[in-house]
Amino acid sequence: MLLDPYFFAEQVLNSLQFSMLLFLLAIGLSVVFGLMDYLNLAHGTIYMFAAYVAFTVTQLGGSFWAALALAPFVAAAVGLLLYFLLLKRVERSGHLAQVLLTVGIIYMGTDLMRIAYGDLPKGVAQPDVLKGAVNLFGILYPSYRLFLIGLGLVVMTALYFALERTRLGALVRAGVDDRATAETLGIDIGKVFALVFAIGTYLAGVGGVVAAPIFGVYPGMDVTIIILVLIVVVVGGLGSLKGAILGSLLIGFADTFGKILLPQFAMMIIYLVMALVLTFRPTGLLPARRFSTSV
Amino acid sequence: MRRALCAGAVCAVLSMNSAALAADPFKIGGILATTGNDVPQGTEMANGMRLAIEQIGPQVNGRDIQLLIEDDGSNPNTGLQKARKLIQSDKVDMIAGVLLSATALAISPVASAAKVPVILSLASANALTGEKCSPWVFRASYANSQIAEPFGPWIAAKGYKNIFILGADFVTPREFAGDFRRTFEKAGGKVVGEVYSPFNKTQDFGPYLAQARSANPDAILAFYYGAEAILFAKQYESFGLKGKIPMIAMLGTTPVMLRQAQGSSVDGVISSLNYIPELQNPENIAFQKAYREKFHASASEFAVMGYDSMRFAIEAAKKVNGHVEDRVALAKAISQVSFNSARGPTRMNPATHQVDQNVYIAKIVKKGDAEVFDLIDTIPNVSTDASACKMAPLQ
Amino acid sequence: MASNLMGSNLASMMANRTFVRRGIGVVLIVAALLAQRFSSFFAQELIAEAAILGIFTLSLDLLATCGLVSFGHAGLLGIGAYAFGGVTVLMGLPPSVAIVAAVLGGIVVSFLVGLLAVRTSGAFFIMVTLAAAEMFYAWAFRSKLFNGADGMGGIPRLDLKPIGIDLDNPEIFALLCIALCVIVWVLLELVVASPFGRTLAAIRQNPSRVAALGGRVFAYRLAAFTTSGAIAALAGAFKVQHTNFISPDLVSWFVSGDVLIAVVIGGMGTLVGGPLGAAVLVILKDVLSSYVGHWYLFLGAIFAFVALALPHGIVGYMLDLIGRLSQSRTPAAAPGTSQEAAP
Repeated sequence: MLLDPYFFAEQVLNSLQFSMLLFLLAIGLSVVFGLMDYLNLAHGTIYMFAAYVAFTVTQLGGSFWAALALAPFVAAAVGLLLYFLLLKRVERSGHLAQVLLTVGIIYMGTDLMRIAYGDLPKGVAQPDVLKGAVNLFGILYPSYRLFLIGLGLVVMTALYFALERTRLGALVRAGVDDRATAETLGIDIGKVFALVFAIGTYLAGVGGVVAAPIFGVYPGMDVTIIILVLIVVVVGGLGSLKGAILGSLLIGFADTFGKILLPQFAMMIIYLVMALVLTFRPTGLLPARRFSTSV
Repeated sequence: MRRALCAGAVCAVLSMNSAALAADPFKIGGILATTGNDVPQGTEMANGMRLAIEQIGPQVNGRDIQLLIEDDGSNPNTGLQKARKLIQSDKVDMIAGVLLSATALAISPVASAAKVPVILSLASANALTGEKCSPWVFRASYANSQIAEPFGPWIAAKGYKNIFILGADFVTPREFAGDFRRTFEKAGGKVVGEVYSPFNKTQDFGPYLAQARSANPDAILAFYYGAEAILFAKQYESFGLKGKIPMIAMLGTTPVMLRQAQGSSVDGVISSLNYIPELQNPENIAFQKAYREKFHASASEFAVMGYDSMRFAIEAAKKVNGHVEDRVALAKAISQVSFNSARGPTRMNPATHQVDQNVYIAKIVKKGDAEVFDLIDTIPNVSTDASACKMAPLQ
Repeated sequence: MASNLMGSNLASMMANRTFVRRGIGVVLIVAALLAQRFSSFFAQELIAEAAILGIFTLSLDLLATCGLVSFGHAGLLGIGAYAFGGVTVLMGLPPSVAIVAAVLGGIVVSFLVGLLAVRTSGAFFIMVTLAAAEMFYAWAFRSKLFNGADGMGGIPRLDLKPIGIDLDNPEIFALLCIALCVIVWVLLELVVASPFGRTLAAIRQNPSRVAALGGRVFAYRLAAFTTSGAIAALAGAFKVQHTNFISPDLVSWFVSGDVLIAVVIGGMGTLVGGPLGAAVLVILKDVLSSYVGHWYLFLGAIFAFVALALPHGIVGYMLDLIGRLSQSRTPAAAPGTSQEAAP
């Protein structure tokens, strides 16, 4: 079956689409972790929140595009609020305090969504213009998923240019490489942090909205995704765009092809990949310079 | 959440009288999910139970009916703990509810040893009224085989000779599939593929749908629940299979609860179920009306099974004239109860302790803006195989 | 002269902390025994649950003394649980053998997992341990041997009837669990005070320094991880004896989270904080779930509160308080007196 080129090509597309979704979340988590040394497990909660906002927008009569325009901003706003009110307080308190706080936020966030929306999973309709399938060299592939792949590639390119070619990007990279020196050079790391956090959360929000029509909206989607994203970040390496891209692709492909080739081990494939990578590269495949030495 | 129930003013009057009568309440422990994944089903069941107590009770032979609901957290460990609490601490006369088969299997020996009758409101694993049956355990819901076995020959007769099975990998789908396969193959059908995906861990059904499509079946038989059911249905549509390869299912995969989320992706799906809200018998019409008035929502199968569990309990208590302390008599009485439920005629089968009931074949169609069930066929009075159950006599 | 004063102040302060910690432990034991003596039938179940969770927290806290925080400890609990269940129900061997098997299983598995896991640290260690636990969960969920998600019942308790102890009696079982927890606690207090324990503490504070001084950091961490695994497996063996039932949700992410929360609420690194946090968590869960529908909301708020306001946990907070009080009581303390941040 795998030898059938059409089937194989379709699975490659499926892998790419999944990788793109993972990337949208992983990049925010990775740079926040890399730059601010902050392990924010509530990243998935923002993703879930944006999906629910998208659901509400469509319920109120808005289109998918309206949701896509609005929800990530709302998510970013909430994320920033969380940051300044709660998350910032344990910025210097070590990973454990951060894990504890963000797990608390996960618990609260999930229950709040249950209270507000009930326990039943919800659906968000795909935009009409993307409802059909496209004939790509003989494969009939859903247009919406192609859209997702395209969106991911656009974001990847934009982030690449932003990080490598803009001044802000240089500031971020400097902060990730060596925060102390960056600060002595007069860079206001606090402002950079807030901006990076906002962008990361915004991307997570985008992820939530675009994932909703395929994956649905339900309490608990935050936990499912955050575990996957954590694995991507750990495998790819902290703090670097290249690491996030590589990690997303690796996990996306491993998961999709693993399910077909080894269905009995489907759940374990990505963990095995992670174990393998960490055995040979304990800090991930392409970490930013600061994390290359073993801790 | 624990709540004791007796209807308002009646309760006040009764508690004045009960000082004189000194009648203990008839305590029923309800093990239902108020936290975790199964809350929607648990809530509906609780609603059904309360409606039953209100309509058929609130008393039986001068004794108040008290429903104590304990949360099982949607997992068997907690459910077992709460069962122990209800039996040892609250000293309930009966236990009802229980969504998960795993919880029921765990509770069965404990309740049997304590001589507390259990009326299951879901917990559909065949074993519970099969090899693992107990004289103290009854089931007011359905057994997986009741839903699956009649469907096989029906599907074969309709011309769907080649079926591809896709399901979530855990006990229930496998049991459903096994029962279906047996009767389907006997009727001349052929299962051309059977693939299971990791339960609750699958978001992308693309690979599985592709495998099914390449086998070119007459229909795809799907076993997914909850969020996975939504994802599967939507992806089935988006990959272009809807309209090309029909989907068939059993109850739980395209339930009323997921209507909004599944939307039109499930138009045309044919399912085998033990209840649909659209049934036109007088009991159901009255039931839907009463439920809507009290809870401002429409009832699906969970409310009905919760209601019926209570009805079995209360009718049995009536048969023993309210002497529910005589547990053996109470349990024996449950075996003798039969009535017309909202789902049609039901009867507790004394040999299996499983309710015999109708099985309905229904198709989802679009009516106006919404999807509804359209009843295609009724298979009356389906029971289960009594040979697997060897029950010790009640004592 | 001044340095002598500084030395004795420091010494008395440190002795204070250990003394206070152990004192809290004794108080906790007394409270547990009183609670057990005067509690209702069903409360005995809660006490047993808290005591077993207490043993579990101690295993996690041991690991924390060398600076490793595991988010997958439910996996090790599960090894003990499934080993015990398998040996008794599937192999028909007596529970006494099964307990030994469970602990051995815990040692072997944690050793093997540790070989990979201990090479990482910090957030990576959290990830690896979480992944290991999730893999075990995946196996348990699909295991036909153990009935997968349906779980397996009929798991017997240790048979001490020949010496007149009936563990099927919930009160006696609860007492046994308390006793076991006390024994584990005492043993770990000894370990922490030993040279091995002190090395672990040094590794937590500054691994590079220890390595530079010739200490084999990897070996010590692995030893701590393996010991932790043995204790967690022991807790698992008793957990299934308590409920007489085993199912995969014993190994879920939430269980790992629960035990971590319990340790942090009590005070990470204080040892006695673990069982204290366990008691708090068990009581909280029971009270909350009886009266409140959405109790995860409150639980989450409590975790957040602890993270923000009580980062050292209840015991840690008390120790800090006592440290501050005894510091202010010493009039001749030199202005630059430093305080070792010892638990």
